[in-house]
Amino acid sequence: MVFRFGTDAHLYDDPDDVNIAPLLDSKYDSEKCEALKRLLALIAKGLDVSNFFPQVVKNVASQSLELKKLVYLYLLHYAEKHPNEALLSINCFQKDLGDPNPLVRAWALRTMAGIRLHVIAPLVLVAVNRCARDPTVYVRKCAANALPKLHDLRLEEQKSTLEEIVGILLNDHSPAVVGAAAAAFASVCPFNLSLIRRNYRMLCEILPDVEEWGQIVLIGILLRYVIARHGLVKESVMSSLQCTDNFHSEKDVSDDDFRLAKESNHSGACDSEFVNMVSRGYIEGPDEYFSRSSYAKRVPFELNDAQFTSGKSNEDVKILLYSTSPLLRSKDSAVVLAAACVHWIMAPKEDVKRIIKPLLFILRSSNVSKYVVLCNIQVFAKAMPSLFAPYHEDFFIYSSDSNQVKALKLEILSSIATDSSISSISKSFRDPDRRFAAATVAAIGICTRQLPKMAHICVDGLLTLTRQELLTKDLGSRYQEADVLVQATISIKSIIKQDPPIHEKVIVQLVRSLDSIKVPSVRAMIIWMVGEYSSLGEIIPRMLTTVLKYLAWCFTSEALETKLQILSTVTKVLSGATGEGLSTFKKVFRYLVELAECDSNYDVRDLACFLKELLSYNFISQGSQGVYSLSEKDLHIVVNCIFRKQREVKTESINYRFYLPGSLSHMVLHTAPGYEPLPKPCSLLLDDINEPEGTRIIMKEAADYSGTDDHGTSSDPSDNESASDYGSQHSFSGSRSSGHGDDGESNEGNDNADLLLQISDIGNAAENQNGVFHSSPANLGELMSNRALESWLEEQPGSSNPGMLEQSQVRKSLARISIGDVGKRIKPKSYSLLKPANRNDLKVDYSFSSEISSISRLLVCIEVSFKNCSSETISGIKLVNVESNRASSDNVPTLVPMEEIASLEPGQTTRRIIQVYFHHHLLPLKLALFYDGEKLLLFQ
Amino acid sequence: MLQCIFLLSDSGEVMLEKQLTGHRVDRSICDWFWDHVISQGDSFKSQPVIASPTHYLFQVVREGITFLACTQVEMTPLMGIEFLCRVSDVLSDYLGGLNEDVIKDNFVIVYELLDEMIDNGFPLTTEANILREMIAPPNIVSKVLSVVTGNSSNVSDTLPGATGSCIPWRAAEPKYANNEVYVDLVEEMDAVINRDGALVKCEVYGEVRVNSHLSGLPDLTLSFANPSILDDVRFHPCVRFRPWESHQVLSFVPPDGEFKLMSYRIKKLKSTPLYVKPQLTSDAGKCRVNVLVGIRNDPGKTIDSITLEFQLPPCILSADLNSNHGTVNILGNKICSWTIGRIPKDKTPSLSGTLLLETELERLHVFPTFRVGFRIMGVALSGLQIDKLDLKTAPSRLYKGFRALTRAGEFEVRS
Repeated sequence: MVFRFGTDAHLYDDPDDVNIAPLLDSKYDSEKCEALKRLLALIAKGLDVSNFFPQVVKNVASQSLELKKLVYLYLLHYAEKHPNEALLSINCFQKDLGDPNPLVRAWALRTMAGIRLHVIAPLVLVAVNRCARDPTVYVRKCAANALPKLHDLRLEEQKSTLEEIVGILLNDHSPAVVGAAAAAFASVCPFNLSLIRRNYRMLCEILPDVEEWGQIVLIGILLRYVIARHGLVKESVMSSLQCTDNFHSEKDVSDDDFRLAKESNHSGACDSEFVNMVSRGYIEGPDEYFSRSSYAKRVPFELNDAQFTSGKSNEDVKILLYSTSPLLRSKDSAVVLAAACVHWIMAPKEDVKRIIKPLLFILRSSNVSKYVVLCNIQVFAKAMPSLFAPYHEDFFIYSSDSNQVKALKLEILSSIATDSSISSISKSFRDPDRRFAAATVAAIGICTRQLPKMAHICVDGLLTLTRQELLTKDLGSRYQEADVLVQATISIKSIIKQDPPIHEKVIVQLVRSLDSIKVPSVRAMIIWMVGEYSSLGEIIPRMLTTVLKYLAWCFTSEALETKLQILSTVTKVLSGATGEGLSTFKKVFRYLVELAECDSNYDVRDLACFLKELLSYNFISQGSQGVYSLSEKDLHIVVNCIFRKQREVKTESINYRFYLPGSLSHMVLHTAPGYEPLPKPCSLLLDDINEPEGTRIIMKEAADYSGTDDHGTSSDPSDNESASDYGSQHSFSGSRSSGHGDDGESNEGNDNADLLLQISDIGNAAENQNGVFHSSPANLGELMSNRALESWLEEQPGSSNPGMLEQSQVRKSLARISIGDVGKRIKPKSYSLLKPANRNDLKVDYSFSSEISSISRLLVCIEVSFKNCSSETISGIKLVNVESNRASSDNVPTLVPMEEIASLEPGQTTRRIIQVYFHHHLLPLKLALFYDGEKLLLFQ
Repeated sequence: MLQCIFLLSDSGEVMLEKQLTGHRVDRSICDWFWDHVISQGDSFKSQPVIASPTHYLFQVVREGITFLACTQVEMTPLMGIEFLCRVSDVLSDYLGGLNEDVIKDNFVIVYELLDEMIDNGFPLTTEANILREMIAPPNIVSKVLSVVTGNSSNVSDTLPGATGSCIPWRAAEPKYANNEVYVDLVEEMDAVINRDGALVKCEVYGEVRVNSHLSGLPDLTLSFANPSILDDVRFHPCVRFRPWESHQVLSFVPPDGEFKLMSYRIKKLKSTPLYVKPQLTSDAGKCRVNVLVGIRNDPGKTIDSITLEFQLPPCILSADLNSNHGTVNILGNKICSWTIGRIPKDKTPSLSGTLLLETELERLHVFPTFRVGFRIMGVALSGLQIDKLDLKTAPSRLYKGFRALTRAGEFEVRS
């Protein structure tokens, strides 16, 4: 107990052992402090103590800084619940903003902005504007941090002012402020890259001095700017392959040449198809991705020469690479990865190797980031195995690694293995952990596929392994030995597939050990090999009779999988057989079919019946050749088609998307809300950038305003003009850079981009901008599924309903899954489920509410509002999950049955909360709506 | 942008929550998290990035305390993770270690620190030096004062000067009667040795730790006698890049107190100070184990705290292991640990015995990997040597001290 003496322990243990209310009203600061600490303890424990709010707010005027801090902590936690009482504190903040102590000013600003009330937004904006010109660095930094808070309130009309302040802060001479301003830029106006253009050089120069957190964000912004401004670098990894691809297609290379090229790729350069996929993934947005994968005809990814720049001659590219290269040595792994990302995308190919050592160094020096860094290295290594091949030692597996890390290391090792390193790599593959051994064996298989020369060694190793595993056959299930055996057989199978003739003896050995192998799937695989390679070489055809007899003998005791495989194998052998064995095979076949027809499993019975019919005319009832009988040759073809399909080598198509290295989406392998691909190369046009000189001057004037001007810019007419002009221009460049501004609407917008726009026009312009996104699609049905996904991910508010504009005050860059209970003033983003136009008069909207389900916390609450737009009463409205009655609803979202709405009067609106259990982010929920006895299918 | 930070105790109790943005995160996410920790065990705890049905979670586990951060939008995952690490470093520095009690006892300080460290989900002030000036760490004096007077504030009234300086890591000019600076080389040796005794991989991961108590604004330069052996380096932000690029000289204005100046890696070393020779043979339901440990290359100083650990295979019924030196323990999770200490002069420590396999098992065909631990004071095994440490405007009395230490990192012997 002694060490707890003098701490706040008693407050945490028993926060409400005394009456808190009188303490808050005490005249002593110390008692108030104690009361607030007790409240804080209750908050920490997750209790709701918002009922003390009015009493706490009174104390905001206190002079004691500790008390202030505690009050602020409480205030920020509950302000949204008590907007009216929170307003009482505003006067105090206003006063504190003029305090000579910079700490008081900064805290007041932080808290005031953190309260997030629409009513006070204009006041906060003025305060931020003032603090952005404060002499103290810390206050300016807090001002930069306050911008995203204001931006969260979605003040469309204030947007230009916000952007203007971002511009001022980006221009700050203190690195600390620039870092915070970069973060503000990323959340307020990430597409307004022309703001960056003005300061690009300065930002690059200041980058190494910025705080690490600011560096991470700033690097990303600079990279986006350079790509939007100058395009990709011709000599970089990302684009060099486009050229080689063209080269290939032009010359129309023959197969041999191609294989040669591929081999040389392995030793020297990189996997061109893969890199192509990767670079495409970085640039294309989600909608393009979906359209590419859903349409049969793939639109080739094309970049013309104009979209490339030379890394050697372009100063902007050079300076970015120059200023990020020292950051590769930062102690913060996030900075290293961000800098590595820049070099990966922009650096000339020969310089990319610079990122390897720093990346590998993070692996050793910071344990927590190991997994994330490995995930990123995995993609780099697959794209350019040659880069990492000399460093294979760094991926050796330690027994202390976690399972995920081990798995990643294995995958990397198997993709970077070379002829010279394979022996040491395969030695490191031994691990006593059996779960892991299975994965290891699979990795050996992959290695061998890439390095055909090593096949013999690997197969030998795998064979010994299978033999070893046999010894522990009885323990198989207990220690996951079975997994290892299965993996080993799969690997052997895939190796044999590459070049069957030279591995004949391996097949023979496997067949010999058939009797001692008990794992059904392994037996099935070996039996498959018998059928597949029945005519191969010398030994196997001689063995066939014995093997088939053996199989027939043990047929009844086999598992389902094996039984099916035996039947098809015998058919295959039979179809290819000639000469002496034929009669035996036929006997065996007939015997097996008879057995199988009486089997308890219907799959086996079906197959048997099918085979009997298929082959009966040829083999079973030879005497009477029917009209339908097939000639021997045809039969061969039929059997081949049916049973040898597996032989077709499936080219591994890379289906999954690639995300920018270091992003969250890359880690979770789906698009996280708010993920933005790189901008389109050269999408930032010079016209957009060439702002009138006047703006600049006015900006300077604005910057020169003394901090004492309470009104700030919003009351000054000349500033208004400049601000609005500025804002509207940027909204166009923004829409253009996101690749949607190619239709008439943006032209219309351009006409509006008069130099003397008034503030009222900004809303208009913003609407136009939205309108671009809302281009109504011709075939709605086709887009529906895409939209369902998108709306879940909220990458784009790409709704097809223009009527929604008034309701949703959201913009593209603001992405949320759920919207917190921000108060009445802001409506959560809602989507229309059913529009009144669709031959009915019921309007159904839904939105994701942040409520927590009372039934289970796994359920997501969706607020659905039903509105009767007709003149008649609608009755019996009910939403039902279409797939709920399906048995295998493992991955399908499930819906808690909704209470039926008995009747809805004309014009009446009713709300219902439906609760859904989503198993996965990406799966849409299929709903059926019943009303007036009708059924409508809807998809959410 | 982080939305919320939770601190969880090792029993899954939510000790603290700090909401960071307007989009509140319900603490039911912690229940979801803990349910998965229980059902999936440690593999879930070692996953730094988790996609839950409603949020993306970042987690860092330090000394039993789980730091959990939530977000719903795209952000750099490493930023979240690094920030949580920084929070845990600062807290453990403030509270003198991390455990459930110490966090609960000082929850007010934890709240104040969190509030200062992150604003609206973006890190604000993370420099330990500045934080110390803003929020005083708890110490005996303040504790006594708070008991005696019932009132003591740990929140500073003034803004630390360093917040605006371009060297934010250094607090406002301190004054010392004795100017001291100590430089420690701390190295960890990673090695992988095959069962035939061949050295597959041997490298050193090292850190240069500096403890500086210097008045004013000192400008130091540190140079190595053999910088060319360094394979790769990472620096504290105080190190200037250009002098290193051109002359391999570390030029910096140090933070006050202890800090990690740089970390480095030296690869492809030729030998290890110790040899470990495991011999395992298995037949007839048994496995005979014999391990010898001895000095291969005398580093010139005593090697102490030698330990050897290995995981017994799961299919072992019982183990009978003895050593002629040191103690052998078999821990609950079937880890056998052999504590040797120093190598005696008169004999070679050896561990021998038999493992009894489960009845159906004929023999063991995968043998365990041995992890070796040791410590050598006074030697940097990589051979890196500090040449000199200069102070630009040297005060009248300056004491400089150098030390070195090597210990085993990922030192594994395969068998």
